Amino acid sequence: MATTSTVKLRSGDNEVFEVEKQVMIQSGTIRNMIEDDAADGEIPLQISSRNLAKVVEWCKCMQHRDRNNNNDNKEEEEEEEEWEKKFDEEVSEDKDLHFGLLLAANYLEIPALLHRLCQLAADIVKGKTPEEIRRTFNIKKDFTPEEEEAVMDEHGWAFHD
Amino acid sequence: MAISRFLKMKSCITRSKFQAKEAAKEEDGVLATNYNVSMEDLPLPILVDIFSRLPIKTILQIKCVCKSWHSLCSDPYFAKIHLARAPFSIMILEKFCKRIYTNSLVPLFTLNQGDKERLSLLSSCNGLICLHEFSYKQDVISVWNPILGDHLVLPQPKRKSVATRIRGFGYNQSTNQYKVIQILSYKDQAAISSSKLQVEVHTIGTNTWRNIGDLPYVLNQPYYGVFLNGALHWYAHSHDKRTAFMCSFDLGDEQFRQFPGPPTREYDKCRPINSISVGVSGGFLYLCDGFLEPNLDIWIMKKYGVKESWTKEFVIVNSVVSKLQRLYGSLQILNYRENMNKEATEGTELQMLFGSEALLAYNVRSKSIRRPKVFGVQTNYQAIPYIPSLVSIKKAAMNESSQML
Repeated sequence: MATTSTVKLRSGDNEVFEVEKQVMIQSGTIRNMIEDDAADGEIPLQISSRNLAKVVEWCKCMQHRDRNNNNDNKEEEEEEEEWEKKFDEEVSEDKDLHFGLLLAANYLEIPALLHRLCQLAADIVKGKTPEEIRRTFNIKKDFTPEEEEAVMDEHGWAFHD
Repeated sequence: MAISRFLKMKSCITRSKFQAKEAAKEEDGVLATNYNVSMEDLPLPILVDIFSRLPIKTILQIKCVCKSWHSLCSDPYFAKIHLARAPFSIMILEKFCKRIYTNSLVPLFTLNQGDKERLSLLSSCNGLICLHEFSYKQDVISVWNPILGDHLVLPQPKRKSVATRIRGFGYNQSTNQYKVIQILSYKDQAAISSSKLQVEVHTIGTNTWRNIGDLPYVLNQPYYGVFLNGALHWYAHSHDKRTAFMCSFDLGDEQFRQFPGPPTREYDKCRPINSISVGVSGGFLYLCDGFLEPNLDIWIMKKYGVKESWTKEFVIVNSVVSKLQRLYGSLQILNYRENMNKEATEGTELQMLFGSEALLAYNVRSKSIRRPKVFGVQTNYQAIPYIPSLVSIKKAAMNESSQML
């Protein structure tokens, strides 16, 4: 077993984050490294410092919540809910952060974070027309007018009501 | 996990632009960094995860966003993953209107008015509905996905002199096959003895009905076998009427077997057929026992195939309920979910459908009943529990026929 209780994560832009192992074992990738005793030095990650900071913050919050699950501390509970709400808002409004975190959660194998971010993305897509979606996510329409007409016709009823 | 399964199969889908980019970056020694990523750049499994959380109507709309989304959302593997997350709903068919409701009776959407007017809904599986269409020339059995509008007509049985009845429709995951079973009785027999009934199976995508021999039991209830876990289920009794039990028909090995039932009173003796209803709701098998009127015991099989897991979850004591059960001979529970009883709040209601037209809501807490008003539904309608899906019966059929070549 490794001797220290922390891991050092180095971001793509060379910022080092020192985090408790207990926090980072939520990441399958880091957990494997810890178990293999491969986490003693700095772990280089191709994740920007901004996104990595957010991931670490999220992991800390979740670990705190899980640890406190059994005590009925209303105040702390509300605080955590408040934090999660703010996290959701911040992510939903910032596409670079949102997609960056999706890739980071995927790479670091943090299923709970990945699910959360996927659900947030689904909530953004929901209820938008194809044109609105293209505009929101900056996607190029690659259908010719004829092709577009054909795909719209395919399930025409879905566009009514 | 579904996504990892999907990953293995992803070669079937157009590679997203991201993968190409990612590969290029890896070669340059710069991996998946997160600067200015766009939605199109997300890896396929993440896109699949996001899209599989969307309601079906949104999915049909996002198919029009760009070509890669169109091909992703049209893929059978995506249909499977989406189905696993899709909510249980109800299909309601009125004379001139087809609507889909959530299982708490909120209208989801109205389908296009098609040409299918004289039809009856037999049973559903994976968002596909087995239909009976009446016409002057002949009756047609078909399988239909009302969402995609795709429709496959089943071949007519070989022998016209034979009376046939569809009794079940289901899916075998290990072979990816849809099957329909029917029971044959010979018209020329003076008295049709149930022991002479034959069973035929049709695999979707083939053009024949295969005879698999005699029907070993009398299938009492429900008329169309309950599909769950790769098998159809009924409440049955032996030909000599001495014993009654649950039975299943495995869609893989095509065998009938006795199936563990709940420890109901008088379980082994034959009793009036219409005192028992078997069905599936929220992914659980249930058995409603109305033998001791006016009590209706609702048993839920909490763990599939485990006899000890049958739990008497609700006991409804109400003369209207038992009268309807007796009148219609069957009832379907539409919206059971795990721990529904334990977690019930004031407004928790169990929706029950008698026959295919009388809808009742039973309040789990107050134990009162009411007749829910379903917006726009006339008195004359058919309803079946159903999950809206993107599963294409045409693709399933093509897959099967290509494997035979």
